[in-house]
Amino acid sequence: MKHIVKNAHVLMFYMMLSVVCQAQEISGRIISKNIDGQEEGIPAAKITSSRTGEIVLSDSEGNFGIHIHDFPDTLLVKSVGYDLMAFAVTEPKSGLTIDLTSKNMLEGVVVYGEDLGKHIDLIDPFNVEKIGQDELRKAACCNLSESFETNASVDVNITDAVSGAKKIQMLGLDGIYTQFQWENIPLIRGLSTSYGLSFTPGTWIESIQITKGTGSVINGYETMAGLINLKLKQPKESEKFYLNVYGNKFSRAEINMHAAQKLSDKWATMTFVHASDQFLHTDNNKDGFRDNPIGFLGAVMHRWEYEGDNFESRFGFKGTYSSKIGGQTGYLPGTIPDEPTWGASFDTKHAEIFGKTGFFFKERKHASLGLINQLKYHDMDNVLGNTHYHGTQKKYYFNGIYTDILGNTNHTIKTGASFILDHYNQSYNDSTFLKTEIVPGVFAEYVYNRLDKLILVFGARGDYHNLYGPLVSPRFHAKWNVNPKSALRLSVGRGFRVPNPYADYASLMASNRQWIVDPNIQPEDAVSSGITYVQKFLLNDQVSTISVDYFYTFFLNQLITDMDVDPQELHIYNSTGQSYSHSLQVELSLKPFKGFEFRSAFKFFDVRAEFNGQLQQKAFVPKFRVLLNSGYTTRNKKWNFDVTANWVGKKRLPSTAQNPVWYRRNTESIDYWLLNSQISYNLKKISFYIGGENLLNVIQPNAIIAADDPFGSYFDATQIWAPISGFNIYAGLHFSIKQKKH
Amino acid sequence: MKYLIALTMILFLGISNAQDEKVLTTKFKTSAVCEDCKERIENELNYTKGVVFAELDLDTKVLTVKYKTKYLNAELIKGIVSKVGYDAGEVPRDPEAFESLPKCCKSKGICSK
Repeated sequence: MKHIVKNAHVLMFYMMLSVVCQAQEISGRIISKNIDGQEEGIPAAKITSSRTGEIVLSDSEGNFGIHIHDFPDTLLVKSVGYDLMAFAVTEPKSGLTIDLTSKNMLEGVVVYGEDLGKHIDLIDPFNVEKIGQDELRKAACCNLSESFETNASVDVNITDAVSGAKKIQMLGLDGIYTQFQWENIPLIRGLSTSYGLSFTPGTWIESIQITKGTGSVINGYETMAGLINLKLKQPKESEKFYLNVYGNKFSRAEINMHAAQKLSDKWATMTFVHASDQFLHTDNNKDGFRDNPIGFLGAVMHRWEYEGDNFESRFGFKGTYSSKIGGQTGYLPGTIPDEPTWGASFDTKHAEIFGKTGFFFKERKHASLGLINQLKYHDMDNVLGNTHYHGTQKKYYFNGIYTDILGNTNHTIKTGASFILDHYNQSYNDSTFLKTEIVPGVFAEYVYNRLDKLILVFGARGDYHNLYGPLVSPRFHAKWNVNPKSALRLSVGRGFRVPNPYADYASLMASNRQWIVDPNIQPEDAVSSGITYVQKFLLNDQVSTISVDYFYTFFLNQLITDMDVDPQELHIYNSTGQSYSHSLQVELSLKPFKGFEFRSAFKFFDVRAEFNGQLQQKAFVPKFRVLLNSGYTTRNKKWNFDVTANWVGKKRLPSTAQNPVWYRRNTESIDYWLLNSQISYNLKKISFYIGGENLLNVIQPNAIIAADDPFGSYFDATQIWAPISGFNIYAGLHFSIKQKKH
Repeated sequence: MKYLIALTMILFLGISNAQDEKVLTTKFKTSAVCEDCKERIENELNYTKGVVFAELDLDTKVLTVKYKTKYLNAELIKGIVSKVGYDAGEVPRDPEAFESLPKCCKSKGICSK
């Protein structure tokens, strides 16, 4: 008995010891250094033990103490305005100093920045999805329109059976309602709306941020369905030299190159080159029309970066030239065929110079001033059969943003002004349209941040359009971390867009429909609201995510493109009745074991407007879509396997009941699966890839209405709801030499 | 039929060959600090003949290497890691390689992406 009691004591002693061992305290201070090197404590910095998830906050002097149960552990330190830092702790310690501003020196500090491929942040008040390099490499072809292949929030569709161009859709709404930017500089806007996605080569892109629903007011009044911001490769971080060669079954050949050079601690420069060419015509569906246009696209970009003490600047230029020929296979411009052939040509020239400058202030370390300038020229000359469209756009864009805190970092304010000057000169057949838009605007955004857990963003902007008068867009965003692994977000906001029907719907010229355009077009005006819930959980020590979002967009005015009135007419007019979109998405992303990732998404779109006087689902928008994606990387990272399957549900098609029987089509498309797959083999500097698109060889039957009579009034190559060119096989390689870091 | 027999024989030869070489796993601590270091070490080893895979856990800094005994042993692997510029278990880092590492990876400081 005595022994037992004694043993019990020993046991208790050990238990107590283990309790003591398990909960040891680490204490210290979170600081930042100002310009003069003086230390300042950072209050309310969030310190998280990555093992237990325990969170403590630093006090007003920056001091903190946290219990660590098991060594080694990693402390994650987050404070507004600083990078997230991971601080490794191996033993109990007191008097630690964690300097959030230091670039080196501290024992065991790393800035946390894992390239997760695709991830959803839990801190950002906006619901931003990020597509990183890993994800972009999964779809190696070719330009921006393919970059969304494995992403559930952005759908990509073929625009017509002639141009080979693709268009995106967000929330079931056409891509024109999504604002495109690259590093906060406008990207696809005005005349480049229809074919602009093909002008940004995929290999130039470092990452893509997708914001669903309404965006921040500082980016302008145009976000309605979403905001997509690209980050191109950066002079200081990118490969020193990179080469990509690509070829596919349809004789498309592509070469991409970029080279970066760090000239000094302050200066760096980078040059990008892209050239692609398709030289043989393919006609897989045997309708006598080229499935994709043949021709050339070349693009260059040159950029500079300067980073001084209180001043940084990025500037450069971009140029694109594209010349493509589509239409009947016998058509070649400049030759006179024996019989009339329906031909199409697309010639585009684009040039822009851009500059971004940021100023920081010695006396106000949280304040900064950013100035963005862009000067752009875009010329587009399209011939489609007997239709001729020519447009020139000259544009100047300015945006100035001042950021500061109000009292402490819990209150941030961003305010500034923008200015847009757009000059359009367009001709459609024998009509000419001249338009100059001048839009000055002011905006302010206030952010209330409570320990990163609750963030409220109130924004408003006022713009004055020289043709349409004042446009006022209020916005509100909120984020709340219900628990440390989940985030609930709300967004509501109003957005405007001044339409440009001939440019926005240039792809609809691939038909002999007569265009009947309302001469009194009003700005499109929509209120978009959404709710998003993201929950992360651990499965086999790997982070998995489930997210649900629902968005409702209501148009106060929309420019309706109505193909339902008559199959030989296209009516474009301001909406008179209702127009709205409900969109629901459920996404599950799992990492069941090391190297394997599985993602599935289910989407529901209820997009309705009045077409031909009747409230009905928008044509070519499926009610249901499913995305399945799985990727596997071997543990030595030499092999990547990736399979993506997209199920596209039935779509409503415009009525063709008034056509002769042989030119009629069903009023509903059939559902189909799109299957893509890619295998990569990586060596130290080279990686090879081979892949296939549309592997089930889905082809829309009789895609072109009246393909046998292209000059007749029934001809229509815009009724496209599935691929028209069958499966594709491609192969290519990436070669890169990394920059030496200092 | 002849081809089938030949094929089977090749397969069996392959298997008997495989039995000659053993696959072992070694684990040791390194002086890696960040994602950059992880990539540097893993890249070097994954493209070394005889390595099945190399994986570094940044939380614990322990490197796990699965390798074929026919080509490598634990000492050789540690030598490779040392030549990249990092301490590998009891083997100290190669001073010259260490000097050529980026500043942040040397000072155990921040490695920004």
